[in-house]
Amino acid sequence: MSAIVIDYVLAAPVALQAQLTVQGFTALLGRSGEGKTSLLRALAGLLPATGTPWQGQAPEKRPVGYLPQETLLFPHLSVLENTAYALRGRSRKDKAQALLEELGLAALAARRPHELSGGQAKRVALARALARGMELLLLDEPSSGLDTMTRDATLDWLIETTAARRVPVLAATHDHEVAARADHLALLADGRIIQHGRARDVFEAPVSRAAAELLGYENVFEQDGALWAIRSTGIFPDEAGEPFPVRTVRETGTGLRLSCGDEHPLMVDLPDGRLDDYLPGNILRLNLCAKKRIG
Amino acid sequence: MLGFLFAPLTGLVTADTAWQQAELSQADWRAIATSLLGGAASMVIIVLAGTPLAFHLARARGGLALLMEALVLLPALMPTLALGILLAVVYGPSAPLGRAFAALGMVLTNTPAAFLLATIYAALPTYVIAARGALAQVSPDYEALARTLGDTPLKARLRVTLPLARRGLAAALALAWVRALGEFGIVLMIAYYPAGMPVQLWTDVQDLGLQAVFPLVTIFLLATLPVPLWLGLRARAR
Repeated sequence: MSAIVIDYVLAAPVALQAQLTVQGFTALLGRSGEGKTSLLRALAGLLPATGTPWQGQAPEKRPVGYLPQETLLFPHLSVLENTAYALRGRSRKDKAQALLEELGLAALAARRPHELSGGQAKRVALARALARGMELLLLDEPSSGLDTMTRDATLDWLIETTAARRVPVLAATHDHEVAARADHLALLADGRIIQHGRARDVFEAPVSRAAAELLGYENVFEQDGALWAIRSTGIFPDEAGEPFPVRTVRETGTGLRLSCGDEHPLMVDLPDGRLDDYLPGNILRLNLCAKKRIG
Repeated sequence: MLGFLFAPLTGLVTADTAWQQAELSQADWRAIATSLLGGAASMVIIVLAGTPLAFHLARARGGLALLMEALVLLPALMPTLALGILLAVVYGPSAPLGRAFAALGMVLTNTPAAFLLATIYAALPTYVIAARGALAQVSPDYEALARTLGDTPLKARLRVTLPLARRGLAAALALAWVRALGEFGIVLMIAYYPAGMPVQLWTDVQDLGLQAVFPLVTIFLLATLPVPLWLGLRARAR
């Protein structure tokens, strides 16, 4: 699959500089307000920016598909008409129908957008974008507005469908769980890309505390002169582990949640165990082997 | 209160009039034709000229946009008789603008063209203000998305924003129609001839009395009330 090298500078509404390579399903992970949406809009030609590729080209001239967070299916058109929107010529409806069938959405063809569920609307919006050939597809918060169950299914479908058509995707998200499904990953913080690469590599070796926090590591701590990150679910009790005093303990729906240690307590999620076994003040030996070195 | 508002319409049935004897004169028929044809022609001009302006006002921001808004509001807020007097001065036979048009073969006093001019001044601001509101309600994001699907800015407006605002635009046009057909003050000053329905009703009342004008009043109301009422309610029902 082809890769697209992006080098964009935006001045407004958020100042940011983004250099990254989009390859396969690439997630752009950043906090809200960092300018993810602005970068996607700039790539679609809807916001002014300088850089390559496509600088100065009107949106209608760019080989770019764009799925905004709100989906924005045209409310006055049926699913079929929405899908046929970018098509021209006499057989546009037939082509749209064929595309809907190919994507398993033919049953929705006659519906209006307000009659679709959130997940269905995302799929139809993808069909509408795919009808027009493209070199890059932009997804803004593909999981927004979906409940957890639909979210996973919809996300898998989006990834599989675009992969099958060999369309490179740049998906903006603030959710590290969405980012975890991507092939490639770019982290956006402080107006620039602070790390990018294969998703696996990025998760294994965050370059900074900010990167680790974006990736969902709850615990970042110093040890032996280095900075380390570990998930609350990556820690478990071990007789041979390091000693930590238990500070607080709480029962949750999925087990126990502890904070251990003095200055910067570690958050630990244990899948089982009884409250009585972890009384505050007791010394608990914890295995931190899953920790990742930062930098 | 609602009864108070409805009271004028009851006049249609309670009026002491002999319907059989009252019939439309030739002048009445001419007035009906003038109003309907002139009104329709001015609607065409108003839609073609007013819709792009309304689009611009709906999307524009800043000082210049405010100034344009003010220019649209001015004729709408002016008492129509005052506006008519000013138009008579500006487009009259002795004014430079009036002379310039006359030199082009378009006399703008007491001609069909003057009637058209009067109805446009009466109804264009109404249409633009209402259409602007309808268009501003459609999120510009739809238009932006249509552009990523290959539409030019104009095409995106025509294919997305216009249809999404259609009910509000229809209601705006209906309001404009009522303003154009009902216009009396401006018409009185610059287009007393050819007489539309309002001027004809005025002269009929002067010459023949209230009882004689009921057939024309009925037609006047039928031409202005039902369709705009329906369109207005439909725009609200959305």
